[in-house]
Amino acid sequence: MIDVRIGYLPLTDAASLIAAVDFGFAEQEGLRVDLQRDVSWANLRDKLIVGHIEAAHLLAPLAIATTLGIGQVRSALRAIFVLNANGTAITLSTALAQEVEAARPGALKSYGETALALGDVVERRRAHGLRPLSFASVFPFSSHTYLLRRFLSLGGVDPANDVEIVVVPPAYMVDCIDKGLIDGFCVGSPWNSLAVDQGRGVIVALGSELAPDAAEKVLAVPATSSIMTGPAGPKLVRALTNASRFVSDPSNRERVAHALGKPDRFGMSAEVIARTLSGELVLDAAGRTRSAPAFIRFEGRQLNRPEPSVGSLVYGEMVAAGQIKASAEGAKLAAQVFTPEIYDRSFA
Amino acid sequence: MDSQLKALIVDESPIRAAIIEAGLREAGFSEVIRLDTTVRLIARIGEIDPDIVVIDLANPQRDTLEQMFLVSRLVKRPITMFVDQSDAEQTRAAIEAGVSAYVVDGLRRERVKNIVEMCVTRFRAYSRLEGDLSQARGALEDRKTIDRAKALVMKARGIDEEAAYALLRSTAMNKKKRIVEIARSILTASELLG
Repeated sequence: MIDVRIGYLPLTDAASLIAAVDFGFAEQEGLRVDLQRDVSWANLRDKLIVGHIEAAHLLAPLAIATTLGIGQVRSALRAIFVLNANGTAITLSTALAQEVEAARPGALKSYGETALALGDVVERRRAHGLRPLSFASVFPFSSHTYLLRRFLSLGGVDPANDVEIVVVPPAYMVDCIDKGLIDGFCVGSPWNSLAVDQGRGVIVALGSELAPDAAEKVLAVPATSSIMTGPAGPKLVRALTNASRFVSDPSNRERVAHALGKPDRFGMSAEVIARTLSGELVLDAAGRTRSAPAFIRFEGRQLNRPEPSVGSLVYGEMVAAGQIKASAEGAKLAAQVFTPEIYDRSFA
Repeated sequence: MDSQLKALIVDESPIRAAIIEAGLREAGFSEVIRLDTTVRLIARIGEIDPDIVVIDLANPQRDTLEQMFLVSRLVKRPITMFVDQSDAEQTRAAIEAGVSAYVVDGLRRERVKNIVEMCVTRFRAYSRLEGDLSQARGALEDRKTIDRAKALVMKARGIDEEAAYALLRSTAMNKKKRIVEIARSILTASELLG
């Protein structure tokens, strides 16, 4: 048995990772995995760098930012498996959703219409001298930040100057809406659905429609880790591949949701998690529903194999968001973070 | 110079925050601000304009801090996480102890190193204290359980306290169990049998 400590945050997109342990796929490969729940992306990054854990469920852009040294620390990381695509959504506070509806009746039915209406709301607020709207992402280097920027741009809103983008941990989003600190947010599952259930928000756009099939979370390890060269790497990849098939099978959904919801995992309602796994979403407190089969995706060689070009796409987002100045050197380093070597070795 | 330095502590535990505050004051910080309700962090940080921020790793708002220090117009001076490249062991020790420090650019490294070391020592001491406390609480609970079982045995058998305790102890020894476990089963049985 090889021991591996892996850190994660309680999000639906950690499903393959948790299923790999809770449904025996890791053990089948001879891995004894100690899964450690954490509370912040910064914690996972730092624990990974100092060797407190050997691998982490990480935001794809954070793995690149850390490698490039544009966050707080510089340390080369590698993504050895893409855990999922999509799974995020943009939610507006109930109050802002009402303003949007008033600006353009029926706008909430599509993300494009909502974005345009939001543009009107931003204009009107400026004309009336009201404070700029504030939107929350979960980390500066995250698809959430880029999706928010994209969504706002669709309605002619300049994300850098017309609104404020802040970072709020998922568990604090509803609280921040209640205190009037934010007007909307982009967050992973099941946090949008939890806000809807509490009557505090309306889901208006899905990551799966704003940036279809973009890599979301990866399993990251330090570039110098023994996982990169030793037997643990391919074992992890095989365990995760089997687990990703398992969680994608609709007949396992209930069991997976139940396992994720347990107190020692997420400590959340299995019913809400099941909704996010299936993409059968409830959008608002009135119970408007939407079926989005690609809402979150876990499985497939196309998705799981870390392609350097995926790293390049993320790098492009960082440049577009003004987080880093474009350079040939940076672009090369970013592409290298997504390394298919171990994936390919796992199935050789 | 030092007396003008401002420190901010973000910690949900008021006791630990007080312990860290005392340490920072000993280190020469005259102004130490403690925040526990961190939802207001975004608004407060700009006003406070700290030279050093100590945050408990169990606080999810660490991610909020990282963003603010990176890009926010609210933060007037660049602040970065303190990582001593020449001393990886200290960084590891801080993470294991559950604390992280962010410092304004230009603060003397040696000085920051000492502050971080102080935080690590005090965070560790606090966890030990907490461990001892929960152990003590457990022991007190056990004591109460045994006393209640003893009273039941005294009444049921018409024996005195000493004899009741001796009976509990010998039963525990025979069954290779702890006295508190025997006491618990007596209480459960008595509940069931009314």
